[in-house]
Amino acid sequence: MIVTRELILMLLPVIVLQLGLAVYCAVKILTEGVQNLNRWVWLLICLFINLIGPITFLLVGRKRDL
Amino acid sequence: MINSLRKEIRYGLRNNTFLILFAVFFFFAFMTPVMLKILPEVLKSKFPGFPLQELVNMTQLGCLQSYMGDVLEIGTLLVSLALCGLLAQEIRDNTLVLPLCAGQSYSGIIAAKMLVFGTAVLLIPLAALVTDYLYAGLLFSFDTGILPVITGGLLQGFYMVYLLSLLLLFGTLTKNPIATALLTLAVNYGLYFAGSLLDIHRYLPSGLLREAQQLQNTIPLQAAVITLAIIIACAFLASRTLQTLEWSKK
Repeated sequence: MIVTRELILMLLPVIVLQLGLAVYCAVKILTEGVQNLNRWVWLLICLFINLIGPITFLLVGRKRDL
Repeated sequence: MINSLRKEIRYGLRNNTFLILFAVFFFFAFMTPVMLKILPEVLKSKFPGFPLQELVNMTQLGCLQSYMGDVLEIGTLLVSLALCGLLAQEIRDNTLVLPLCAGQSYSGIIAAKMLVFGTAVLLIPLAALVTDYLYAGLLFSFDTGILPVITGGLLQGFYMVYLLSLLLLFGTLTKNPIATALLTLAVNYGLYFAGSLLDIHRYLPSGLLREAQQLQNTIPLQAAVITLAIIIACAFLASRTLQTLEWSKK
């Protein structure tokens, strides 16, 4: 089995992308507010569901201003 | 026209459309080589003697083809969902009256959307495919030339522009973002399955994706011309449908 350090290095771009998206969404949730679901539920979705979580939030959970 | 382009860029940034497209394509671009790299190790420890090398192409080319498959299956779905509100949401919210009152023509609105988001869906898949090529080369070895990859990326991007034109047309017809996305996906996957069933991919936009997946640096002329004709027809019909809409409902 590949050693853990090597695996983490290989996954680094994905981790950075995922973490960046999660942090961006978390900031949006806490500063701009949400719709369709509770703020804490969106926060959990963005932090714990890979890629789909933040994208779902950006599509349907973000508070829209007209 | 410059103002319309600026408005569309601002719309894309404010609604995080560019960010979603970037995240979707680059996630698969980075994930596919890693998955192919660690899969044999995982299977070796769980199922010793499993003939994985015979089933999966564990090379840079295999990574690129696997990435293309992911883009067809999941990328198309996420792109449709990300861009479904482009026109449908604006019609529903009645925000299109602002450019119309400012003297913008219907065709100008469609052209601006096609230009800004078309450029984004053309360039982002291309950049992601080149990234996938470089990362797969780093993890495996560079056994494929860059030129077929660029051609493949452009074909894939062109297919996404076709998807965008369908979204704009269905957006004007349904005026509902989710209905627009579902209709686009139904047409898209329906045409793909019809192409596979009747072996007519070379006459359909799906022929672009099939050719892109081969990475052979060839351009399917028939499919490209037909796709271009569909894009122009969809943009024209979307513009005509916008003209027939009633804007003083709210």
